[in-house]
Amino acid sequence: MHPRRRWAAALAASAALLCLGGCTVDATFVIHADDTVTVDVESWQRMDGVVFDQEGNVVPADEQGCSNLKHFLPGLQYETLTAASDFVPVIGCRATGTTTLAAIDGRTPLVHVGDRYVLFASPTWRQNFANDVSVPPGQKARPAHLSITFPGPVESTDSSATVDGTTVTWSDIRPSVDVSTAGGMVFLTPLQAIAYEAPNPFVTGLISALGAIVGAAAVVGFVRRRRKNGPGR
Amino acid sequence: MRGVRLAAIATSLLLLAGCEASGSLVIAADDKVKVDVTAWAEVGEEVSVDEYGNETALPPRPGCEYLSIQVEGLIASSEVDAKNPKRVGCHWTGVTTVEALQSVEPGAGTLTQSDSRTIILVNRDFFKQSTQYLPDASIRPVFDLSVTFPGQVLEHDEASTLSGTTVRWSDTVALSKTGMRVASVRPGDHPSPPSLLPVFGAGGLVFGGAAAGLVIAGRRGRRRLAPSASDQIDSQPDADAPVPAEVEPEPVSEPPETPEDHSVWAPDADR
Repeated sequence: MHPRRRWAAALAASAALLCLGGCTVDATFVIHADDTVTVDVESWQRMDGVVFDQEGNVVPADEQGCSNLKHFLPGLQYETLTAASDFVPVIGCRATGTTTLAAIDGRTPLVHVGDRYVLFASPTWRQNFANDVSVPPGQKARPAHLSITFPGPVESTDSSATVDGTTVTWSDIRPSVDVSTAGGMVFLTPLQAIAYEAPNPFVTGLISALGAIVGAAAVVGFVRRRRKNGPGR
Repeated sequence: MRGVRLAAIATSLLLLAGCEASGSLVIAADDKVKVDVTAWAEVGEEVSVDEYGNETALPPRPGCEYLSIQVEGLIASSEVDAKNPKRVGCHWTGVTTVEALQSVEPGAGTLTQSDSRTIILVNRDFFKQSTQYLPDASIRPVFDLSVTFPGQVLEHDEASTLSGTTVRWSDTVALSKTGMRVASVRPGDHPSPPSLLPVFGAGGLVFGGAAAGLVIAGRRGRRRLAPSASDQIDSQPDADAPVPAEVEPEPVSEPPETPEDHSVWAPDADR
């Protein structure tokens, strides 16, 4: 294989996520301490004449909406969505349910590595959403929206994210450019977030219990001292 | 919160080189990175066509022109495989910083940092692409890359080996199953959220103090309202030495309160 084609193929592979022909998504992931993930994703994409799945098979028109979500987020419940459109025919899919990080490992840019949870969505991944497909009128989905709730506190994110508690939200995951302060270079930016694991329940309980004992002892000691000092006053 | 820093020289080099690379990256505690990496690519034949349609084969372009990555602080020198002139390479050496590497397109993976961790992630699909078209399973792309981290390595993928704080990959077929995945500790590590444990401790302290206060107040209240035999027995161990002195003030303070209660209820009695 020619190196440039191999490179292009590698780029295509890394780009293949959620939708191939361009789409918009409203995705919510809630990662639990046991690495299960509650997923609620709604995607909308153009309805094309012929669509191939990841294995190269032709996808029937009525299954186009969910074929990619089934591949990248397996083991969920899927519902094909349709909507009237005056311009470009679109088809949607809603995937809901609970899966595991292991089941979607390599298919989504979410991983549990060491003692951290990491989202790294490359600029190439963001190219999935560089199109003019929009959520059809009357649908509730937020366009190009991604929200991830981690089991523990968020340690760091890229500048486009907002953090509320342990939830990181990107309100626009379409590709964006940044200008390097060094040399004024323009480059595409990834989505990134790093979060702690959930606090260890044993350590947390131990520290809470120790705190409670110390607090109780302090109050009892204070009361006793007051009683002892009382008669002398 | 310190922003996530992004660097991706290793993965970008691999991406551009079709997964043939060798060398090392040494990440220092001050975020300086010593680089010594050579990436290779087998280039197709380029020809020039004159006005009569005659084709003339052109010599391969220099490797660093083909693998055009420029990073501040690194010197790039082109190389050619002596056995295969179509196989060209680029050798990067020097010391740069994590920050300087941010301008490199990350592609399929990343070397990223938070305050407490340095993390490398490269999707296994990238390595699948480089191995699935090999004509012979025994052929493996030239690949031998090591990364030395400034702190302890907490986790590394199964395709790699660990020696001290250095992780080394040398098998792209194994990498096509695992991808690259490393988490290591940065200087100034926070093993867990730095603000939470004191919060839990303080919460326990307040809870324990409040609980003890409530218990003591409850006992006193019971004694005041209906001093029973059991209360008196319970109170004896608490009384320690000055038992008589403590018991005395209670009757003095309590009886005057009882008539006040009657006066409060008096209006109701009038109805």
